[in-house]
Amino acid sequence: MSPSHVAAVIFISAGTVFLIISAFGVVIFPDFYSRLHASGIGETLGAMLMTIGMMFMTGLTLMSLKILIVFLILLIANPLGTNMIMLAAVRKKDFLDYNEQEPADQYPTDAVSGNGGNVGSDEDENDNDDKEDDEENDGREEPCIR
Amino acid sequence: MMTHFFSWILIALVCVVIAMLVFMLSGKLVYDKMNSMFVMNTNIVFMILIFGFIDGRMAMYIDIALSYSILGFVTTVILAKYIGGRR
Repeated sequence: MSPSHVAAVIFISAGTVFLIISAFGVVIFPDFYSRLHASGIGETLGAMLMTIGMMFMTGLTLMSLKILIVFLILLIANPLGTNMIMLAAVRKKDFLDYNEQEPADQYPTDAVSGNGGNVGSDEDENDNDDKEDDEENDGREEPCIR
Repeated sequence: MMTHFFSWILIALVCVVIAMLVFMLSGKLVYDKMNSMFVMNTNIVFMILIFGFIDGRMAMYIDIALSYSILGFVTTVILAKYIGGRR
């Protein structure tokens, strides 16, 4: 066995181990954001290690250049996709007061106008559609930090 | 000998994809299902590449894996914008 084959076996095994561990973490964790973090971080590392192992295997031809393009695409696209899923969940559910209002807006500046309360009333309209989901998932999806 | 090693890797990746499929059907939130679909995308790309190693004709399977990775990423972005809300 040539040394390039030995290096390829080592890198591909390490990449598979990380992929298995991150997929296991997605099933086990109790909170949605922890599961998203486990899958986003572990998958990127496993993908990078496996593509480097495959580049050792094929040698220095045109095929290794295409595998390098797969490596670059996965390096950019995996964290981007995780960020988009996170933003979709945060803007709909308003988890952990992410869309916090300014403290000055909560108190009325004029005693006459009395327009203190919620400035962003659009969030309440969006959250009313998910009220059934929130009541069902309160027993399972409790936040870890609070 | 190399094909014997790669068959074990292929079996492990198939088990991961099946576990993600079971998790997708039993998740309560819609964001859990989007997350499991995103995990399955990356694993299927590597299943295609490893299958190309076993079969011998590597040059055909790399192009399929390249286009599938881009397709999966665009699908995830569009689904996240559709489910996420108007802003």
